[in-house]
Amino acid sequence: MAATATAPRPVERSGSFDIGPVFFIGAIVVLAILVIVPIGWLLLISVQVPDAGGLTLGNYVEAFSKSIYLRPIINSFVLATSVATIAALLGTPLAWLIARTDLPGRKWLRALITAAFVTPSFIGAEAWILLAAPNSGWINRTIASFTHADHGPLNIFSLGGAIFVMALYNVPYTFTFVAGGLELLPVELEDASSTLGASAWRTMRSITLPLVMPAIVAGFIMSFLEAIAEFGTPAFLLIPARTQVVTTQLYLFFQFPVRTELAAAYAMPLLGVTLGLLLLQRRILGRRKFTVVGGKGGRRRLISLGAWRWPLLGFALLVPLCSVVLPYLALLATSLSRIWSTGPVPGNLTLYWYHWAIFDNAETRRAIFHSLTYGAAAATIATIIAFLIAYTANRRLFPGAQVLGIVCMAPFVVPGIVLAIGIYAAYSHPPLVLYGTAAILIIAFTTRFLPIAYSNLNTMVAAVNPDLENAARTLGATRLRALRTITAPLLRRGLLASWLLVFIPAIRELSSAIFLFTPRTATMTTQIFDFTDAGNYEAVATLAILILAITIVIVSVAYRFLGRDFMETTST
Amino acid sequence: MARIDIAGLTKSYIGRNAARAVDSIDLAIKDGEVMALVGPSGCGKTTTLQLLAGFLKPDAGTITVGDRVVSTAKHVVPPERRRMSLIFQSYAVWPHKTVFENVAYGLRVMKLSRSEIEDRTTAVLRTVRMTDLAQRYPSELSGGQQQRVALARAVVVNPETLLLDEPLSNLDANLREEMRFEIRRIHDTTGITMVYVTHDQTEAMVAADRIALMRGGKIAQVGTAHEIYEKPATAFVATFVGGTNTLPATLIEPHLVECCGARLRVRDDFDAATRGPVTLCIRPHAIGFAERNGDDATGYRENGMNRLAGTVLRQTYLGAARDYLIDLGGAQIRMAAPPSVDRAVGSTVHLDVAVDACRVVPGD
Repeated sequence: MAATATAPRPVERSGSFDIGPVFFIGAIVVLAILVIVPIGWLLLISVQVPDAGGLTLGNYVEAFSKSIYLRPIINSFVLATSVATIAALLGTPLAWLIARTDLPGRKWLRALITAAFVTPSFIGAEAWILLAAPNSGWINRTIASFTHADHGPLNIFSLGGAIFVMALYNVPYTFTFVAGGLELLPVELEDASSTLGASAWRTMRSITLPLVMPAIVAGFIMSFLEAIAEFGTPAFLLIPARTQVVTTQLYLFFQFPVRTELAAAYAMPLLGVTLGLLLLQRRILGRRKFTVVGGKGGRRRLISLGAWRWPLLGFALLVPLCSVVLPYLALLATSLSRIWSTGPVPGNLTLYWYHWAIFDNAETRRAIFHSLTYGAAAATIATIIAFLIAYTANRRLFPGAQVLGIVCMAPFVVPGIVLAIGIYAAYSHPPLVLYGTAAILIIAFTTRFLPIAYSNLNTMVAAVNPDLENAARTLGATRLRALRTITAPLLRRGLLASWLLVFIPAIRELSSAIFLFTPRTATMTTQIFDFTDAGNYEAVATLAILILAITIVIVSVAYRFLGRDFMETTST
Repeated sequence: MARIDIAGLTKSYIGRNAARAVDSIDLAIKDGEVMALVGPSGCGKTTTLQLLAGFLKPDAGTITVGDRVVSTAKHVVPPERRRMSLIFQSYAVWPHKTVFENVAYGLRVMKLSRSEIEDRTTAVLRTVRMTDLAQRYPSELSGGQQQRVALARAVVVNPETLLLDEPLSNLDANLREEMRFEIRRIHDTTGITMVYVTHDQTEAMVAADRIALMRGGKIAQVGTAHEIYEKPATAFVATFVGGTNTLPATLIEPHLVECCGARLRVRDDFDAATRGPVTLCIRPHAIGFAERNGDDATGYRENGMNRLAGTVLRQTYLGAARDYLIDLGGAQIRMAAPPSVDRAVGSTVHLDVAVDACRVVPGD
């Protein structure tokens, strides 16, 4: 080494300054603002004395000793367990029917279940209020008109109601995992059992079911995590019933007087459970390898259902009926009715609410604009950061660069509502006061969906041969120029897909927005929340239909240009 | 244009196999020379090329181009400022750009005028006979055509040095022949300094002025094809280049060795200071069957030949030659005989080898 110390300094031919490092360092700084600072603040304030700044465990003691704060934890656990169990019990047979049998209309059923996947459950909750509110819900009124009772038998404003709605929208998780597993399962494994004399039922019980068990458990865990972190549905269905779960209790901590420290401490079990279950799920899916041994995509025989096909079709239709058909019809009818309780009868039908929402009402007009622009900004930032970090980590621009990838994925284990608390804590005071600005919502959306963009782009960057960039560099292009003119154009489909995969959930995001918006920065989802509070269900339905319409248009355009598989990275 | 001096260059990879990929090598490449880096896989030739191109930072040592130090352990001039073009094993032709755009890329980076870019690109495409395909995308080209695009793209920017990383290994035999000629022609018209990495010794012999043979991160020998073939410094060099029989032998006096029970005279260009165990190298085609004239004594004979005796273990008819494996009692030797010479397996044979074909290298 002594020899190199005295070596002459390299002489560079061109004195031009390479701004490449500035970009990569900039990406790392933005990543810190998005992920590290909020999560750091969340952890920090949970052990801080309110308004004083000393360290204490008092927040934890208060959060976990009072019975009014313990009850929501139990409720959350009951809710999530029930939702995940029901979703798995419905999703598994549905997957089997659609993937392995000759059930009629399989293609349509699959499309309907995918439609349930892209429907946020809080919009489903709104629709079910229209269908099954105790007095005014259409189903209740129809039944009551036959029984001549004061009100119908259904009450959606209950723990049971919330479990029902959330289970409906979580069926697609188990369904996708199990259907995927069944499609990879070599038919020979089942044939081997049949040739040994096992009945079809016994084969299913002793061969098929154990082989797809990891997929079922993975689906259960996903549903459990979704349910425990969900804010919208409990807010709409349980707050009126005065039943609190963890997420609604966190919301109450943010009502006046704001108790951020308490909220942070109270959110910790949510964070811990999410992290733990995701690690567990990763282990389970990691061991799933054995299900795909020899799984080649040869033509498979479908199991003939015989006379059972029609009753089973009835069962299979039940879930999409409740999660897609009825809710969409209820929302559509309401949005087209001057007064929703009158129902979609001639004379009451009108496009008034659409005109009102898009043109007449400044609030909703602004909210639509905000949703689209915040979503677009978040999608753009997330895609750029994810791309730069995926590149930095894959090409190991410096030792330990792979750690940045882990940072990008970290928000995945943070429920939206918990992330919002961290972002609020970090950016509601100097040096960076962003509360009340659009920036804080854009940060929230970007951070929340950054893992989607990253996992998508990471695999794509890894697939690009570094020689393609190196060739550009030997021809005089800086790293940044090679990235811009070679790598990015090669990945343009992947970049566009990432953008959409962030944009779509961002325009439907409620749980983090609800903590961070002010009237000046309201979005479509926070407007839905406010209109629900005010009982203006026509406006709610109109905004919900607009969100669904935007989503459907974007997804179908993307299907056309990017192919059907562009959403698949989101499901794992 | 550019001479390249490599001094004490060392590079280790971190991780499980933390061996030195390049171990303190010294190499001087003359201006306008074609230098081939040759060796088996894992010998460090590709790492050396990556260090030359500036993609890797050395642990120690320097690389100097002309009078410009471009790599030290402290600082590396980035690839884009080294004026070295690289031809990749994978061609690395950009699939989203047409042939023309691929070739014009380097000129655009140089911010040349539109007309100059047009002229130089068209000219170089003519040189590699790709003018008609200028508007095609790489997916519409054959492997050989893609390779020509890569070549055009690399030379159009007038680099000081052209680095080639196994440029022909993905081509079939006919194209390989044609491209070897193409590369040599580009060199002869431009006089560009080239460093050519390959594992194929024939390719190196055709394309290069000199060959640096590498093994285990070190340079085993540098020289012209003739020097390396005729005067291998070690048994490895002799085996790798052209193939040879290596026989254990003992040096008993200058130019005389004992091998398989016979005393043989060897070429006198070996520094005979070290007596004791050595390796005797004899090329398979330098061996012939002896005339049967009753005198079967082995060892050096007055007619300038060494004679060995053995038994045929195996013979294979190859059309142009007959490949024999012969047991000398203590060692086996392969020889290439004319196809008409047919000796049965198991028969006792006598072999003649010229003194000039017997070369001694240090014992391994």
